[in-house]
Amino acid sequence: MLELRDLNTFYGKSHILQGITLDVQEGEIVCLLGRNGVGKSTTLKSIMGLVASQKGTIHFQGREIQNKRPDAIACMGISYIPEDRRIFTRLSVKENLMIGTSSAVNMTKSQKEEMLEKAYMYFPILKEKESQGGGYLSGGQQQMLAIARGLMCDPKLVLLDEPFEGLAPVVIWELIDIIRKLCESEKMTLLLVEQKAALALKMSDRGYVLEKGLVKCEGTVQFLSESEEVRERCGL
Amino acid sequence: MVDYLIYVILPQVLHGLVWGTVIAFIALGLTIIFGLMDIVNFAHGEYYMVGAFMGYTVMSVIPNFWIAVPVAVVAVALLGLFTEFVLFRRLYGRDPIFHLLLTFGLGMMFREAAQLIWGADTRRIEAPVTATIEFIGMVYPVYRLLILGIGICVILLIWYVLRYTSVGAKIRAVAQDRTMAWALGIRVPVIYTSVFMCGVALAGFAGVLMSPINFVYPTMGIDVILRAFIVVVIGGLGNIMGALLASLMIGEIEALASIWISPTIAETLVFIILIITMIVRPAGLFGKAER
Repeated sequence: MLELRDLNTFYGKSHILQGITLDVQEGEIVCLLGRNGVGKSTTLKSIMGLVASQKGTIHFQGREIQNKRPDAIACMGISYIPEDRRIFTRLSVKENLMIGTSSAVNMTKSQKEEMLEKAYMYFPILKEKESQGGGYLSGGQQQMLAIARGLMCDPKLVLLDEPFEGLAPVVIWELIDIIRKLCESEKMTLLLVEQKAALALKMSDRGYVLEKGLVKCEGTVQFLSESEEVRERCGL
Repeated sequence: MVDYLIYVILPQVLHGLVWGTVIAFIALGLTIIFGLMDIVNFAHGEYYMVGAFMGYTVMSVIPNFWIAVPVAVVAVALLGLFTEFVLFRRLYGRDPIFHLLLTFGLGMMFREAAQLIWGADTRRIEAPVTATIEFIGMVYPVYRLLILGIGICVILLIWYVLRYTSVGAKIRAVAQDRTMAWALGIRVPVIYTSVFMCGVALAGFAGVLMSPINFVYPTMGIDVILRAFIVVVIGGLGNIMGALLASLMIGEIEALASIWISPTIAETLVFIILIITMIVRPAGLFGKAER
């Protein structure tokens, strides 16, 4: 479904991605692991067109999407849920969710209402706070809003960046439960970036370990969890 | 005493409201454009001037004010589309000094171009409604009340669109986090262009509405943009409600003060208020310190 081949991205003069090659198949949950600053988030941003990549290719469902505009990429069915949540604090919870349908150009009004109901089903707290400003939510609720907003367009592929950062363990487990449920019942394809390798491996089918802008090793969750090298690199 | 209230104070209060509405038109465009794309448009007053001149030109061919108004507004909107597409688009995300240079220069070019095309003379458009209305003994021109009515409707419309429609929510989303809005599939460049067009069209609308009351001349934009800037600063940059309240305040202060002191000195009063605001509340009377 998603193919990255030898992707190179620069921030000014620093060479962040030095040739990333990875695949995500339909229905898979794939995680990107690695320490801070190895290029995990940049990989997602490059896919989304938020940073320009200089070399290599990105294909989504057979179509080249490299260096297209972010809104065009979103409209093809890729949803980006960023690491710092970035919900619209000055918009109400409902408005935030409805903004999430912007990329679903063919969705009718009643379909959007259905998606809203579905979001409220998975995240009941959001229904309770529907008309409140996004800025009044707690950290965990904001993360739920960010995820729900990213799913409103009924995406084919979800890019999820550090969903558990700065959250209390109880909230993290609640979120993992919901994400698992979502993946099972909505047949979601997920590319997950997570610093906490133990959590990520529990949720995923396959993973890639990044180091200094390159894929160091890849494999099934079982292989990665047992690999000595991975344990060391990801601080397991 | 009652006579003084009816014949002196009341007309000035109404004048102040009308003037405040016109300033609000300019200031709203200015503050919405700033809130959305972080650009302070120093050429904004010139769109007001172009609106008035377009109205004047249409009137000299087809002497019907109600045809001149929509034609002028559409013409200014198209000018806005052209300038955004060719010039402003290059400014997004750049250092504010470029914004200042480009928009200041653009304003100068517009003024000089207007002088070349229409000459430096002051002109005037016939008011479409010359009737007056009598209210508890005071006589007041209907046309000014008409401006006030139109102004209130337009402001309510803008507020409704921004607050309660999905387009309004998108505009607010882009204003807060452009990148995230873009990644969610909002076509940010389209939002920028259309909001800029609407903002300058609003200024053009004010220009043509005011042309039967004020004179039409190439530098007319400067008088109004100065006040609009003051209003935007007093109201807090990017704060729509603040701009509205400050517009009415400035309009009233100028109108009422000119009862007792000469209108030129009344103008200075506005600047004094600005200075005091800047000292006491640098973020604006209605602004929040965080912005």
